[in-house]
Formats: sequence, C-alpha cells, structure tokens
Amino acid sequence: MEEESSIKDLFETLLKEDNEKKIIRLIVDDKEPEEIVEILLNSKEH
Amino acid sequence: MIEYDYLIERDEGNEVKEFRPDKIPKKMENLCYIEGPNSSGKSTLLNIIALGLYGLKNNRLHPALQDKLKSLVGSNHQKLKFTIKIKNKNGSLEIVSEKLDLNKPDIIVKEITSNGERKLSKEMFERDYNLIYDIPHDPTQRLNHLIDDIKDAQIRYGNSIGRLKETVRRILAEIDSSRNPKRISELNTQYNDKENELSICNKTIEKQQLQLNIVEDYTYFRFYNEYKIKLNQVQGKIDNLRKNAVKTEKKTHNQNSEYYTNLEIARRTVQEMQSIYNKVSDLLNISLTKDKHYLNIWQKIDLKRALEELQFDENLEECILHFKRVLREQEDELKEDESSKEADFFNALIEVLESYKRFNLTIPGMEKSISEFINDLKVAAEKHDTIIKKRKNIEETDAELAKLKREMDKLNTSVFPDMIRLKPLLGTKMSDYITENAEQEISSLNNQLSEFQNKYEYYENLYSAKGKPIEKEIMSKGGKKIRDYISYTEEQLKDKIKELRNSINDETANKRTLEHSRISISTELERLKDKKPHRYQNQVEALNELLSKLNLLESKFKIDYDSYIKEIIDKNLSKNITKEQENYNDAIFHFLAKKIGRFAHINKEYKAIKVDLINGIIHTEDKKRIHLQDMGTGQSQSAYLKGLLNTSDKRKVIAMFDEVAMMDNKSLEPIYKKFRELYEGGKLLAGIVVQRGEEVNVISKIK
Repeated sequence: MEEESSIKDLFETLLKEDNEKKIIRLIVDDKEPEEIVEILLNSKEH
Repeated sequence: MIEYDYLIERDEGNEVKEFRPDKIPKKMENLCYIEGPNSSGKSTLLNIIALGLYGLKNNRLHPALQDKLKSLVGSNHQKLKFTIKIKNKNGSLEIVSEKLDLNKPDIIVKEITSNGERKLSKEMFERDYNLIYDIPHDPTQRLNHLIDDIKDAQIRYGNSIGRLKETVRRILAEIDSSRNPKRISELNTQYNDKENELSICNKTIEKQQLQLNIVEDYTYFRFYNEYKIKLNQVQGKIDNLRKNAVKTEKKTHNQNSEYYTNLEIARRTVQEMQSIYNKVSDLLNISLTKDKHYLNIWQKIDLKRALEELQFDENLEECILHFKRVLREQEDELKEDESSKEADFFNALIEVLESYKRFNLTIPGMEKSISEFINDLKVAAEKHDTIIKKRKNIEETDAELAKLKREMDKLNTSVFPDMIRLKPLLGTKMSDYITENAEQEISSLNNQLSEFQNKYEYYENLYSAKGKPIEKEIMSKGGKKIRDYISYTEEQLKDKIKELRNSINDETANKRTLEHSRISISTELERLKDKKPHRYQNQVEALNELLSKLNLLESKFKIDYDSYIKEIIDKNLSKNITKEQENYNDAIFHFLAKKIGRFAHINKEYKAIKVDLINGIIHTEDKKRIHLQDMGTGQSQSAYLKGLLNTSDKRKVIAMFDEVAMMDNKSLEPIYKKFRELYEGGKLLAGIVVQRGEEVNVISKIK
C-alpha cells in the first residue's frame, strides 16, 4: 500500500515545539481563527 | 458524470463561424481517457472546464495554459458561452459552471448538494476544490514543480498565521476595552491616588498662599515705613547742609598745601565710612538680638565731625568692638543649634555630590541617582533656611564692621596726625573747605533721596494694594514666622516672595495636570463600567504568549522557509547553510519522495525515500540512486503526475492532463490507478487524460 503523504506531516516534522505543531495542524485543517484560539486556550486550561 | 456544452462564435472577416462540440460526446464518465486528432475539440473541452472553474485566476496553472484560457474569452473576434456539470459518484454533489451570455464575461459557479444550492466565489471554490490541470512537457524539469505546492502552502499557511495573529490582537483589544475587573480596580486605585495627591496639592497651595500673604504684608509694611523714615532723614541732612552753606561766604584757599591733600584723603575715606556705617546700621537692626542699647549710642555717632576735630567719636571704636563680640556670641549660639548643624551637614554633602553629578551612579540602599539625592538634600536643607540667613547676615555685618575699623585706623594712624601737625599754620581756612564741599554732598544726598523716594512709592503702592494692614494685625496673622522674617534683609525678603510665587505657580500647574488625569481616569472608569466582561478576560497572559508564538511562527513561514525553498527551486544552496536549513531540505526531499511513492523505471517498480532536487537524484528504498535525467520520459511524467495527485488537504480534486504524448499505457496505468483510488474515496470529482490520436475515442477509466 502506498504511503500517505501530507503537507501537514511535513510541517509537523519541521516544527519542533508541540504548540507550534498544534497551531499548524489546526490551520491545515481549515479551522477558523476564532475556533483555533478557543481550542488553544481550552487546551491550555486543562 | 461529466456533462458539457458550449458555443464559440468566431468572426473570420467574411463570415461568423460557430463551433459546438460535435465529435466528443457531451456526456462522459468522471474518469476517462480521450484521444483524437487535432481540432477534434479535446483541448478546447479541457480549457473550457478549467476556465469555468476559475482557472484564469489560478496561479498554479502553467503560463502556457493560462494563455490558452485567456484567448478563449479575451479575443475581440471570438465570443463564448458554455455549461459544465460534474456530478460525483453517488450524485450527492454537483458542480455547475455556466457562462450563459456570449456578450457578458460573467461566469457563475454553483455547488448543489442535498442541503441546497450555493454560489461559489473564487475563494470558496479554492478552499473546497483543487483544480489540477497540467501538460507535462518536460518531465524532469516539471518534477521540480511539485515543490511549488509546498511553496504555495507555506505562503498560504503563513497568511493564515497572520490572520490568526490579527484575531488574537483583536481579542486582546476587545478585552482591553471590555469590562475588566482588574483594570477597574487598578483605575479605582489610580483615581484615589490622584484624589490624595490633589488634596495634598491644594493644601500646599493654600499654605504657601497664606505664607506669601504674611511675607508680603510684612515686607511692604516694613519697607514702606523704613523708606519713609530714611526719606525724612536724608531730607533733614540736605536742609542742614543748605542752611550752613548760605551762612558762610565762599573763599579761596591754597590747594597746594599738604594739609589739603590729607584733608581730601580724609574726606573721601569718611564718605566711604559713612556708606559702610549706613549699611551696618540696617544690618544691625535685623541681626542684633541682645545688648541693643548700644544701638542708641551708635546712631548718635557723626562721622563727619572727625573732619573738623581730626579724631573720631570715641564711641565708634567701642561700638564696633562691642558689636563684633556680641555678634560672634550670637553666631556661636546659632552654630550650636541642631537645626544649623543639620543644614551645615546637608550643604557640605550637596557640595561634594555636585562634583559627581555627571556620573551615572545610583546611591546604594536608596535606589536614587545622585541628582535625585541632591534634590532631596536641598529640600531638607530648605527647612533650615531662616537660621542660615541669620548666620549669613551676622557674617556680613561682622565683615562690614571690620571694614569700618580698618578705614578708621587708617585715618587715625597716618592721616589725622599729619593734619594735626599742619593745622596751626592754616588759621580759619578749614571751615571754608568744608563749605565748598557741601554742594557736592547735597548732590550725593539728592541722588539718595531720589532712590529712597522711588522705593518708598514702590512699597506704598504695594502696601496700599494689600489694604494697609496695621503692624499689630500683621504680627498676629504672621505669628511665630514673622520673627524669622525680622532677621531677613530687603533682598532676602524679596527673594522669599519670588520663591513662594514660583512655588505656588508650579503647584498650580501640577494641580491642573492632576485634575486632567483624574478626569481621564474617571471617564475611562465610566466607560468600562458600562461594558460587559470579555469571555477571555482571565486569559490575557495566555493570549499574549500565543501572540508572541504566532509572531515567530509567521516569520518562520514567510521569511525562513520561503528563502530555503527558493534556494531549492533555484538549485543554488548558500555555502554555509544552518542546521535548521539542512533539516528543512531533508524534510522536503523526504516529503517529495512520499508524494511520488512507488514509480516505474526500466520495467521495475521502486519506492522513493528521498528526492534530492538540488542534485537531481531519487534515492530508493533499496538504496538505488536514480538520476532524474536518466529516467524514461514517460516514467518521469508518470512520477510527476502521480505526485500532483497525492494531495494532502481535504479539497476535492478535478484533475486534467493534456498532451501526455510521451507516456505509454504502462506509464499511464499508475495514474489511472491513482484516479480510481481517489474517486472511490470520494476525493476525486473528475479525472481526464487527453492524448493525440488518429480517431476520436473516449474510454472510461472507472473500471
């Protein structure tokens, strides 16, 4: 089976910090900026 | 299912020709291979589909293809209208693009689903759909173009980070202007602080104003009376001199005699002594606090009589010595005073520190600069101002008394003895000389009179303006403070008035600033109290952290990664690349390998693990190094097209490949396989491969 390639994986490889990876993942997933802010703040709370 | 229809009207000068699809069927399967001779309409079909799906504005389309799309709609001799419909496998989604008017440029793109119909703008289309339209002319070069996808993505994500950053900034601004309990509490504290400062400021102004009134009342009263008396005294002296001058007839005398030379010296010295005597009299009035009865003796001394008697009043020397002794005692007492010692210490300290003011030093334990510390010391020393002034006046009186004694001794020891020896030879001529000089003295006294008159009028005006308070009233209002001012000279009192006025002006300016600040705080408080709290009120710190992280991330995508990928595209690496750039290149090369996946080369299939675009080498899983230039053209095209289809996002793909002439069935098969895989997964809406052929032939590639 052919290996799945993805730009998301590429940038996750390039970025070292977890929160940077998370931000890019959310952006690649086409989330709206407000939604991204909410997700990031909620994850910080927990 | 793909359905289409179009009409092209072309003006050929002598006639207008119409072109419609007549060779290629208007309905075909979603995945198909079309071959046909030139002018059979196969490229026109692909161009119209691309045009209908915002291909003209798609900067990923090859410039040669863009030109073809432009010629369809941008020529004056040609008009076009069309309808394209692409329905997915189960009919749940349909994309319709229409240009219904030959003469209007409008193209409408719609998406029809079970939820209804919605128009798709270019941005909406590009967000949800991915139009891939390519002509792989030069496969080895075009493989490089895969990297354009990454470059585009970097720019796209960099922009998204920028938008996210703006959103965070906006939220922070909203929080700042919303009802923020912490901010309200801070503002309340600030408001109370300003209130307190204002209250202190008002009290200071009130206190200083009161003090100014006291000093003004006292000064104007004192010098109004003092100059009134002085005026009378000078006027009396002038009158006396005139009376005596009239009685005596002016006579000539022998100016060459030694006696008159000495007399002239004595006259000038006595005149100088008179001026010192006057000054000492004023100073003694304010400086002397004990044994004041000597002042009565002092005031009766007539220095000019010495010119006739050739000796000074015997009380002069006694008074001088007495005053010097008493003043020394007074000074010693003042020096022993704690307040005086403190003032001396502060002033000595200020003098030392002034020499080090230019150095940027901080006083240990105080966290203050030298200049700040000097200011503090000056304020502290200021409290002992009165005692310092008293000592200064005593020192000055002592110095003037010494001067007076020196002049007296000079006459007593060297001038008067000669005059006494010569006098018997002169007879009555001395009184003549005195008369001759009376006019000169009257003139000098008139000058003094004019000066006193001016000062008298000056103080009279000021005193009247204050309502001419009587002495008792001034003393009772001034209380203890007045006793300090008694020892001040006229200049010292005038300086005090000036200093108080300046201080009141400064405090008033400070008060205005405080009032403005208080109003601003109050307005801001009112505004905030009307607002509702923000949902992220308590997460300002986290938002600021996020903002700073986004700044770094944006710069990484828009600056660092952009420069790295440009070097890969230009195949021009910097000499000393950083570890970060090395990692980046490595990640890109592995990513490209994943995009290509398995590929065929000389009858064998390989799996790419790294595509080194700088050196043009594909590294395979079984450690083979295949140079791109050695790859069969068809195989290279196949690898490239497969790469294009390996998209990473969720967008649905419409893929069209034209002029794949160099690819044989073996090279094309992986493409069809990929088409089917994506189509079955619901990700591919349409996949069309077009090639030149002898006859028109449309073959479904769904099974």
